Amino acid sequence: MYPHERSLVEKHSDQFVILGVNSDRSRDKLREAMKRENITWNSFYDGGGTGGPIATSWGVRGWPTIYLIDAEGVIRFKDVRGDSLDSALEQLLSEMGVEPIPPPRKTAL
Amino acid sequence: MTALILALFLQATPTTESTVLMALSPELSVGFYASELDEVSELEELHDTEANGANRREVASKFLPRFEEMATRLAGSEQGLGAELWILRNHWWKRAQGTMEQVAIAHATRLIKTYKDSPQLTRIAEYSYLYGREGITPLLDLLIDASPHDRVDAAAIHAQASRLRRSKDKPQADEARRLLEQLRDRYGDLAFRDTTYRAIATAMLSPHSPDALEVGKIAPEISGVDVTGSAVQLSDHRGKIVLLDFWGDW
Repeated sequence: MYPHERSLVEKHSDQFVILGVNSDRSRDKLREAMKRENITWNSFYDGGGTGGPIATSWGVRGWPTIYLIDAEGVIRFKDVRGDSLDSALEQLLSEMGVEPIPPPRKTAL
Repeated sequence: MTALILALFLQATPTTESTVLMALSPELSVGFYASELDEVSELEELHDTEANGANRREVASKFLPRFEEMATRLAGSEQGLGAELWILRNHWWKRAQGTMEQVAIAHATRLIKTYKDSPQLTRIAEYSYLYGREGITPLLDLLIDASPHDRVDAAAIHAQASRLRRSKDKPQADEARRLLEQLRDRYGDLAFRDTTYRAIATAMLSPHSPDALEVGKIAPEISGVDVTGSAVQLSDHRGKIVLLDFWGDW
């Protein structure tokens, strides 16, 4: 799950957090998933199912749904994943003056 | 087999007499254990374990005769109803003549009439996806009329409102609103899964507008609890970038 974001959380813990809203059907199921996937960040437990109060308030009907929120609390990106999530995050980090992680160096011709 | 018995033993309430006997002699007390605790729940657990990652229909077919046997043998009891409800949920697609929805409605109707005093009838409402659009309203109305339990009424009202609230038809959307207000005001204190009907009805009545969730808007506050029950707020993380991830492990 989000291998690059996991490393960014570890590297930039002062600037960046992942916060989950979990819709699993029980606390046990959530605990088990966190353990198995080595999820180190916190999640809201949304009442034990997909129709929970948070997901309902936010109109979430597909999982995963992702919002990227900046340090001022403004929604900046929605449903970015993979490479576009990486670049969105690096943009926000650089706005905060954090040196972006350099892309893999291309060999000169 | 021993491993299974031990697993069940570990899940049992530590104060029951059967557990004490189990602790003394797990092998010998199986019969006692089975009659003491709910054999239908036990079979459901066994089914869920086997169905996990396997072909669900095949596994359900394999278990069907055992649930049918229990439904007959234990007819009239809560366990008998438990077996019937398993069959309703897992085998509605091949039980008899007619469309799947008709079969599910006929089965559910029979269960409501036969077991009207059972609190387990909440599950009839929880399986609202089984019945199709046509027959669900009278079925849920019948459930509300028949059951003396607030919990069953609340589950039926929730199922009805969930179905109607996204309707483009104004009278239906208005009816959903009326039902949700009733759910919030009359049954708000009742538990819905690990939350309350108040929390769920409130969220359904006034979700954030799509506009408020657009890029460029301040993210609406979220107040909730984590898996340990500790209070968490989205705004706790102001000053940091937040990847807000709605997820589930399924």
